[in-house]
Amino acid sequence: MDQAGGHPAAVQTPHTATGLDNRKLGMWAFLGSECLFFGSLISSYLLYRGRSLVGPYPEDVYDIPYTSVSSFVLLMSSLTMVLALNAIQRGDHRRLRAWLLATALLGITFVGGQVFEFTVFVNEGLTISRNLFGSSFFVLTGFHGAHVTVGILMLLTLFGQSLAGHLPTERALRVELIGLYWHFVDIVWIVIFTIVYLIP
Amino acid sequence: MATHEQAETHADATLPPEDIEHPGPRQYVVVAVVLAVLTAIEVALFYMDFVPQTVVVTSLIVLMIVKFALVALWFMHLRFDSRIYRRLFITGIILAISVFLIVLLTFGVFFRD
Repeated sequence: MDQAGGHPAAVQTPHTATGLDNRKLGMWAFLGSECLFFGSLISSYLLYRGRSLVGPYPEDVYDIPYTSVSSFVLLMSSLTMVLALNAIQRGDHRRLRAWLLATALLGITFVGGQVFEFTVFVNEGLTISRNLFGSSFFVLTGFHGAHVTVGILMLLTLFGQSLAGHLPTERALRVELIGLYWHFVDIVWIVIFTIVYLIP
Repeated sequence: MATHEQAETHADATLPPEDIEHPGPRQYVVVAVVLAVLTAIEVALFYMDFVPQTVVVTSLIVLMIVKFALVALWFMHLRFDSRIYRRLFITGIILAISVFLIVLLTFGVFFRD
């Protein structure tokens, strides 16, 4: 049934200058650089806020209850992701697959919700070229949605690898790295939800 | 190929000790419940028209920072892993906040009518 039993990984220090795994270090460096990327998009949104000459304006199109549910869905996907990591570290591959699939499904729900939200906005007249609000809003949330979509593809790849027996406990780091990316996408949404949607 | 996979397996098997000591599922669920409650409070604040706007905005920013920290410290294990990871990530955050705060202040975003 499960490809790898037993307990996590032997406790040894990798033979690197830092004593840490370079792949994990690289992922953290990447996430640090992503802070600058999303920082620039959020700043652009703030810079253009309230400067649109024509509508629709944020208060005309935002549906806070709907977006709150989407935010809750993405937050809970972080829980299922960390439970997937916990499962593979304990050698429980059945639960690993269940939590990976749950995380991917929650991510798909979020992205689906975002596509629906975009469709409603466009139907109400807000397009990317309509005004400054439309441009900065669609670029910011669109890039975030693209990040979530990449995360979903990576999660489904992990799920497939686990099904095929190519994800033994010794390779738990793969799940951890993709988990870090997924949680980062979640914390970026925490910031977007507050700054873009909730702060008047 | 086989050699590459063996090498990767070996590398994965060499996690430093601090990476092993992570919390259990129960603690993760508690953190998730706290995150859900904080989100509910945020949404409730949005609808509280009788609360001064300054209070609402300040509270929303504080709640956002708390949620951000909870996910980073517990779900991303920054609280438990090596300090080097923390420093890398915090450097990115501080750099981003500094650069873009300067940009926003330069354009007077916080002092508009």
